Amino acid sequence: MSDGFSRVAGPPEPRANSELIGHDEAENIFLDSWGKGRLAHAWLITGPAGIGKATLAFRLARRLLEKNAPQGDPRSVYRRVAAGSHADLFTLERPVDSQTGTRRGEITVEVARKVAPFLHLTPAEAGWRVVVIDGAEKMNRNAANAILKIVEEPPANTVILMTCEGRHKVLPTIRSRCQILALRPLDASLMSSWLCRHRPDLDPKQAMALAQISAGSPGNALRLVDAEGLGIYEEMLSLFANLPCLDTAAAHEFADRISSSRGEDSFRMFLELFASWLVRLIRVIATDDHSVTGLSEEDVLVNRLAARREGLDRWLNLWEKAVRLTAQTESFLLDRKQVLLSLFDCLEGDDPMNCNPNRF
Amino acid sequence: MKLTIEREVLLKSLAHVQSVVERRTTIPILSNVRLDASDGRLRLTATDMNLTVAESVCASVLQAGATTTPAHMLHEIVRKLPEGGEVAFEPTEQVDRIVLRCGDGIFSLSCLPVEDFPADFNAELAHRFTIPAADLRRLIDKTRFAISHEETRYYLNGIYLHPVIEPKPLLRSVATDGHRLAQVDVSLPNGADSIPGVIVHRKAVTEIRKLIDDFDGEIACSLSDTMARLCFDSVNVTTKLIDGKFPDYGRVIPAANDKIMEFDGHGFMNVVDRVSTLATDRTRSVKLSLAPGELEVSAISPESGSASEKLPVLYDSDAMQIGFNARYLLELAGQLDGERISLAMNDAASPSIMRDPDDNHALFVLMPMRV
Amino acid sequence: MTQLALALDHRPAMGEADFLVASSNRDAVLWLDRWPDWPGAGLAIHGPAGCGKSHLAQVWRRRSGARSINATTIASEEPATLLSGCNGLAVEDADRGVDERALLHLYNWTAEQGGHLLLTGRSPPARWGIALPDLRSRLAAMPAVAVTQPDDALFSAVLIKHFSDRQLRVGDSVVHYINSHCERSFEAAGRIVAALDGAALAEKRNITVPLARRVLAEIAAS
Repeated sequence: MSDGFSRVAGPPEPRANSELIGHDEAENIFLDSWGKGRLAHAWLITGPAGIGKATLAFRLARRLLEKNAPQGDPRSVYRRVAAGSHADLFTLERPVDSQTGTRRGEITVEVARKVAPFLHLTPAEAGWRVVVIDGAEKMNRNAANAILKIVEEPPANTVILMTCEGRHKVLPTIRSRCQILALRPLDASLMSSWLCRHRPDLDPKQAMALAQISAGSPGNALRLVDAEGLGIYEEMLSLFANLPCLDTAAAHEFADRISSSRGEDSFRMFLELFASWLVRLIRVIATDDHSVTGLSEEDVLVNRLAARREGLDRWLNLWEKAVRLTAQTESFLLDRKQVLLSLFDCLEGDDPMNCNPNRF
Repeated sequence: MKLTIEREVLLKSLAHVQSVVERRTTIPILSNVRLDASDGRLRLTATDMNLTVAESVCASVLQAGATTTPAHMLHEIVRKLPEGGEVAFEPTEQVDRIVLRCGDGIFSLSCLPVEDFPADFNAELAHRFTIPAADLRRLIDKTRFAISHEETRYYLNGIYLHPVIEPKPLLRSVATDGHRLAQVDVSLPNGADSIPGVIVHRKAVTEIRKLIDDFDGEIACSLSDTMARLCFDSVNVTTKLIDGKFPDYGRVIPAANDKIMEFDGHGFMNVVDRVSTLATDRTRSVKLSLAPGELEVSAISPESGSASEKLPVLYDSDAMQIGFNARYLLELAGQLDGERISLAMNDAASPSIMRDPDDNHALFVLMPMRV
Repeated sequence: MTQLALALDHRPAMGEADFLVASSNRDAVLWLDRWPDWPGAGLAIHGPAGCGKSHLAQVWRRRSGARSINATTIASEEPATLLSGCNGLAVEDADRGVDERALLHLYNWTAEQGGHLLLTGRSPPARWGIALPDLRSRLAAMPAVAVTQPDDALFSAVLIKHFSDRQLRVGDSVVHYINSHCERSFEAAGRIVAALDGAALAEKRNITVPLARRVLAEIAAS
């Protein structure tokens, strides 16, 4: 039975991922209360993107569906949950964008309205009915209203598992009805050994470096490996090595390459890496904590930039701008190369006002 | 999987199962029909995850196997194949493709693995009985028009099927949408006296009714609190039930309506139909004015004018006037088989009962319109 | 002509165990069930005092996460503040002394934010004597649903529910007696049951018709 991992496809979809790392405590809280007969009917799984919230949600769903069910053979449950064809599981999530193949946009009321009819029918296997809402904060207002009543008063034999990037991003009335499982980003060494298991060709030092730069998300780490993100990251560091001086020709060439249409993944990956580097830089400056990341080039660069005592504002502005441009690039079809150059522009030079976060 | 099968046999079975499949589903495997070939038979299964229809037909199986392929596409292809043809299914090197051959035509169809297909619910259900197909048709035909479409009262979006013990053993179906209610009985089959009352949702009712249309034998039913299954003629239907409590409908069926009017059904329907043509308000309401021996049906519309027509009836109670939605009247009257119809009323704001005076086992309640 | 409905008053298994439906409030309940599927941002519920408008508003608030506010205090804050952290407001007694500009402002703001307003009052909005034309037109476009005095069946059911909430077993005759001798309002029902409970407890008696007769007389006298 495939565990959902493939050398070609990158990280498996959460619903098809049979492996969960680093969240045993959260899983045990759920299993414990279930074992004691005090299972809450609504759960909210929170934490940053990509650390395994949806994977946990589907895993808990499978556990529920395997119990008390004549067709509860775990393999069969796994297959059907992975294929979206389990009659007692309803999943509410953002639609898949046909162009990029990833999930984007909002959860609209049209799909949210299908939860109630699902719960109006009996469970097919005489056990639990499970609703997974992946990305509760992505529900638009009407969608959230449509499911509010269900979360407040779920019918018998029903469990609702919601994931959300921050507990304050869902309506208080929804949040107050849920038991919260707050997941933390994975510890780097745990991720590093996990990475080595799945990509045995990786050198342990590289694995550690990848673990450091993937912000506690195994999904990110795997994507970085498969799209040669580490290479892009190292290039980025050497491009920035002499900041505040920036070799313009090299910057243009890099921007050209990264933004070319063939490198679709590379572009977005670069923006993520850039943003996460900024976050680490900001943290170092703010906390004065110069821990080692495992990539000596990054440490040197970061320490040097931190030592310049330029103040956080400049970096915060730049980070804000990077995040905004990342979000906008897809929706507004911005020119990718210009986006990159504009970001590099802000890096260059001494003038902290050089970077206007609100200007492209 | 390798087999041959007569085109007509395959087509008939595909027609049976494919209407269950949802046309616009985002989950690919749910658009597919499951094909299982073994031991001289081909089994076709289709589902929308709430309702599953499976049929087993004769085939010449050269190599057992199973796969799934898009249901509507397969149905269309087979429909367009020449009559009398023989259809062959053959595997290909690619695991996600299967080939259909018929005469000179070759069709390569995409497939998805059977393991991804929703499960067959073949768990034993606690309550079992058999019922003549004609009885089941009656239970459905005379109540389904009254099924509610309103989603908030989801427990009314189906037919309530339950046993009745007093005054005599009956199997009863009831449907209501809040304006009218239909209650129909057939004799209670052996073994059905302790079945739980179940509410069967509208789509399941529709599909079941289609499937039993030309079957005339006994249908094997089994029920639990959460599922219902019907088996007949190598067809198998399994469905979830509506998870709710049907209201205490007995309380809204008046027991003492003493203003009883009896009339010729066809005549009445024609008059109502004619007179209501004029009523252009959305609900096409008509007023019934009763006097001993006579009924006047009338309608008024500010734009079009007025219409009225009289009809001789058997009635010897107090004069009264009562308004009804004409469409409801016609629909109800159309359910009654006999020539004569009886309408028992209380007053202009209370429920009335329409029935065939010779049939105590079909009863229709209709709320009037306030004039 | 309006189509009348059968008295099928059973609430679905899913929720609202504490709300009883009858012909006097069915339309309002149906509208609240439909939320957020309202034609616009607002709904008005009107009816005499004590017929359950506040209770309906409370049910809606619990379901929608909206807050409650009295009409006279609308003008005291900006709509953004009034609506912060929730997506709707129940404005009670909107027919008495409301600041028209403030209400218009609030309505527009709420509509823009995709939120909802529930207005309650003793009469339909058309009869509130609103002078401001823009507000008048918004109110005119809003669905307005009437709630009437509870009928016998509903009132009895409410009494029974209050008794059972307090785990009191009470005979039909008591319910019938109270029903025929007391002010037909939800508040009254609650008050009477509370008084009876107190009296029965204090005097270590069961709740009987004679006790009910006495307690009702005492309430009437005070």
